[in-house]
Parts: sequence; structure tokens; C-alpha cells
Amino acid sequence: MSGNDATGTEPTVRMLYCRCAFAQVVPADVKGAVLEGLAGSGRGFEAVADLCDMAARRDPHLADLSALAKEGTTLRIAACWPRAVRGLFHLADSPLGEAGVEILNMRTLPAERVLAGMLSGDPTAVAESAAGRDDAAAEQAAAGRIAALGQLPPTTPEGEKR
Amino acid sequence: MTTLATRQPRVVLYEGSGAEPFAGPERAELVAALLDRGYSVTLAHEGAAAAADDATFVVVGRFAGQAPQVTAAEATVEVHDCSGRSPAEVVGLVDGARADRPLNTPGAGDSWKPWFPVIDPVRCTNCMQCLSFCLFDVYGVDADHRLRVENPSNCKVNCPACSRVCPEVAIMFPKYHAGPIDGAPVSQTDVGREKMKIDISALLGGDLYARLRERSAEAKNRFSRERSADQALAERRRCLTKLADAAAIPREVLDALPSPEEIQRKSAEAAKRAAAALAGQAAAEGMGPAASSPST
Repeated sequence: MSGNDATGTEPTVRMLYCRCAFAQVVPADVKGAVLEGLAGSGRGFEAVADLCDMAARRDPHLADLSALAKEGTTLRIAACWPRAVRGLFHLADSPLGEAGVEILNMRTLPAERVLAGMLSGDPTAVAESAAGRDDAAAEQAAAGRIAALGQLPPTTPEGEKR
Repeated sequence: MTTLATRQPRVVLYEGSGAEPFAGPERAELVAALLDRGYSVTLAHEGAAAAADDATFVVVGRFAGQAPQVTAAEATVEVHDCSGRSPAEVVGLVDGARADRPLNTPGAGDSWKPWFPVIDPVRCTNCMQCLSFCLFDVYGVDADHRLRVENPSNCKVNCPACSRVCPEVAIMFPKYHAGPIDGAPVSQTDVGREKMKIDISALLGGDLYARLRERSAEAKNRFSRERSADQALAERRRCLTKLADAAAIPREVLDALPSPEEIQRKSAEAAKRAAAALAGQAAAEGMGPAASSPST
């Protein structure tokens, strides 16, 4: 699979969405809303159940994506902390270059900011993804989401506190 | 140890020419359901064949009876017309097409949770402390004597202990609940905190596993003197509790540790591999064999 048009996205952009399906560290409402936004955008994209799982397998597709970014395609990834995402590609022997890679952090950003980065290339969303966590703001945002959803907060791994 | 297949199977949802698009909410529901089963998904608007790689085993779309033929790199891909089917029915169709291809399904009884250390190559100095520390052969070295995560599936789920011994805060566990271990930026405070953790380990005897060995040996001696199995077990339990608190090692991991003799053997092996890697690094840099080996 090669070329920028394979998924029908704009010619120079490839989008990858990580579901982080084996853990509950990405707020469920954020990853759900981001997926809905991507699916409703009318653009093609790739989605994986879990980027960690892919990296552990040293899935050759990660090398394909890394190579595309080095050849001029903009690779936009909706996943978690950029440092972790880069580490995962490195682990899979497919290190990402600095240029052409935009990582959006669903652990800390609200869905609309992630979608602004994924669909419009909003550079501030990318910058916010790499910035440190403001725990107070994160707590407040989580509380807002809980109130809006009228349901229990996204759970964290057994016995752990976010 | 779990043996991992190279790839998770991929599904192509095709909405290009010759296919009707899915309704927006239905599309999102279908993609989510497939991801939650463990599949990779490509939503393709043009070129079903181009979107199919050698992990692709099925292309689904609303073809209205005009399903295209698709051949991927290594195999002919099944193409299914899912006109009029609900997302749940499409998932059933995909599951049927998968046949006996392995699939790591989140939450399934036999699934493997991808929990393992991830090295930040910008921070790692290849000091091999982690290789020396880990008893489960998770770490190894590459041909250039640099640290690599060799056997991710050997790692003990929810145990971040090796990240606590890294002097550079270079070890991440992306599924951990807090920074910087989860991959959040590392602050100066974090670096200080990590150093303090190593000091705690030093207080315990320089190396947690070495201390465990010593305490076990002490307990064994006392056991032979006092002939009290209960006392020896209590001693081991006290030691394990201290370790669990100091390095955030889950109790179940400590409980599953091998015998003290086996720990000693594995620890020596790990230290030997770390020393060899350091010597290799030094030789590659033209400095001759490494003068020192990591503490064990």
C-alpha cells in the first residue's frame, strides 16, 4: 500500500487514529468523538485498535507510514503523548522524522481540538499536544465532560487514580 | 511468554466508485466495533486495491451487487457486499472471513494487553541499568550495542518498575496513568524525583533484587536456625511489601517471582549481558573494554 491517495485523503495528508482499545487511559468520550468526527468528515483515514500492540509486533505498516512522512506526506496521528508515540515507532524500528509528523494527544486535548489538528492541521493543537499536563485543568475538563454526559467518568486501570 | 503475530488483520471499508457510502453515525459505529474487536481498519474512498496491503483479508462495502475483485500483495482478498446490513452484522461477516487468522481482541480471555517499556531515544544514554534490572529478558541490545526492547510480551502487565531505575527518566509505559511514565514531558522535578527513587533503592541495599536476595538468604538462615517456616515466609513478605512500595511493583508480580536462587541466576545473567553491551559500546567508540559494569 503506497501513495497518498490510497485512502482518499487530501493528496499530502495521511491520518491515523489509535483506539487505545486495551486500556482506559484515553477518555472514552474523547476517542469516541474524534472517531465520529473523522468518520463524518468525508475523508479517508486509517484506524488501529492499539498503536502499542502494533509497535510490539514491529508491524511493517509502521515503517510504511514513517517512510511516507519522510517522503513529503504529512502524517497526522490521533493517539496519546507525542513522546510516547515517537517512542513506539522507534521501538518498531521505524523512527519518525521531525518534519511531516503531527501528533494529537487525546489524553489531554478535548475532541474538538484533536479534530482541528487532524482535519485542518491546526498547529496550535499540535503544540498543545506536546505541552505538559495541567492537572487542575484536566480535572476540571473531566468534571465538565462527566456533567455533560451524565455518566460515570472514564475509568482508569484497576485501582489507579488519574 | 506470548508469541506475537507480525500484524493484526486489516479490514478495508470501501466507499469509492461503485459503492454507496455508509451513513455517518453508522460508519463511526462500524469502525469502532471493528477496532474494539482488535482489527485495523482503512476507510478508503478511492482505490480498494491500493488500500489493501498484505494484512488485509477482507474489503466490505455497499456494492449493490457489483463487488470488485481485489488482490493484495500476497493473497486474494475476500470482498463482501454489506448492503442492508447493520454494523453488528458486518462485524459478524468480517469475523467469518477472518477464519483462523490470529486476532488479539481487547478484553478476550486469551488476549495480550500490550504493556511494555518504550524507550525515549532522545533521553536514553544506553547505561543498561534497565537491562541489568529486568529479570524477564524484556531488554536486549541491537547490533550496535544499543538498548532495545527485545521481548515486549515478556513484560509483567502493570509493572512499571524498570522506569523507576532509569536515571534519565527515559522509560515510558504509554498505558500508565501518570506522567512522566505515560510519556508526558519530563520536568526537572521529575528528574529529581526519579533520582530520589534510586536513592531509596540504594537505601534498600543498592539494588532491589539484590536486596531481595539478601533478605531471602537471611530469612533462610534464620529458618535453618529456628526451623520456622512461618517466620521465613513472614520475612519474605515484609521484604516484598517494601519492594512493592519503593518501586510500584504490583504484588502479583512479586508473588510470581521465581525462587531466590533463580532470581540470583537471572540477575547475574542480566548483569553479564549489560556489561557485555557496555563493553561493546566502549569498544565501538575506540575506548577499549568498559571499565565498569552496572550495579546488580
